[in-house]
Amino acid sequence: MDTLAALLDATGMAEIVNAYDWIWPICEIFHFAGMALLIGTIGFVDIRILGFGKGLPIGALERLLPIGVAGFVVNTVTGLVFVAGNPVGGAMAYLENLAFQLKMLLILLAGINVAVFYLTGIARTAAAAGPAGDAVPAAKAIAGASLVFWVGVIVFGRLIMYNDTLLYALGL
Amino acid sequence: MPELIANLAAGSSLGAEAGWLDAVESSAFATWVRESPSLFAYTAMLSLHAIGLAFVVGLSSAVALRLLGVAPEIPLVPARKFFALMYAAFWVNALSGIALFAASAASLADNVAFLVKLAFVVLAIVNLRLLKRFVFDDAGTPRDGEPVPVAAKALAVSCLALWGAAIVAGRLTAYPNLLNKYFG
Repeated sequence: MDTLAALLDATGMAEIVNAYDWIWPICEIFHFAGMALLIGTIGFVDIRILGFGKGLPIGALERLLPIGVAGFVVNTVTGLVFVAGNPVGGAMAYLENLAFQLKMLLILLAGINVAVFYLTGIARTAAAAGPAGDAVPAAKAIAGASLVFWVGVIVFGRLIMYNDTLLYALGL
Repeated sequence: MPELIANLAAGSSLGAEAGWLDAVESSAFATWVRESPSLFAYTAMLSLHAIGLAFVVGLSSAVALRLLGVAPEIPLVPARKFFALMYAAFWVNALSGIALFAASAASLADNVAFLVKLAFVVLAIVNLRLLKRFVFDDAGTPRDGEPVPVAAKALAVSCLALWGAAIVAGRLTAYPNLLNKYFG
């Protein structure tokens, strides 16, 4: 973790963030927009797979996913600005933050979830269900997990600045 | 503008010397939201607010993008059902927003970015209702393969613009000093 922190600090992002005080809020704005695009597309597909909104073909909804991926990319880039450019405590302050760690873990789990969805062929059976069709239980489990993971990402993202409250709740 | 609001609040017939904003802020509920160390107080309201935002802006943006030609295979008629979810998400934000406002009522009433955000949220919701009524409720919902009418595309563009403006103003609520520096 020390090497990762050192690497991030070495980017010099903190100097840039300190020099231009509008960078942080602009990145936050893009971070929220990216979050909305991600939830609006991935969430749309997940909700349909779970059975709400029959009449919408799952395969067609999946055409929205590249926009969700774009949102994820925007958030990764702005996220790196936050971690590498952190003016108070540097990158380590984020890396040591429990809420941040849990947020990253949930993103990893969401990624594994997506991989399972596509690599096991469950995605194909879900898309084949047809507009009014019901997705197979495995697809619903993945969709449900996806929603839980991404909502969790939002929650722990908000808690980063309130990590003390989280630690207090966990008795740590 | 902030002076106007502050004067309105201070001179309001709704409140006593302290003004109704201070009364709201010192209420039991607002005090609990603001000062309780529990995860279910202020932090929960923030989380709910972010979650609601993600769903109302996200889902409506997805529909707007569809109207503008993204993923044209998505049939529009059944997409109407998702408006119920958008409105539910909006109410999550309205309620969590009331709690967040109460906790810092006096300073927020003075906060130009916050007031601008409220205006854009109202406009965005009106836009959403118009979108639902004219594109999805009337018999005029474009069927598969039919072109999307210009009016629907216009409402889709304004949907994205209004929510975008609301997000910008919402974030800048936390930076009153920065706004003063550049625009004060």
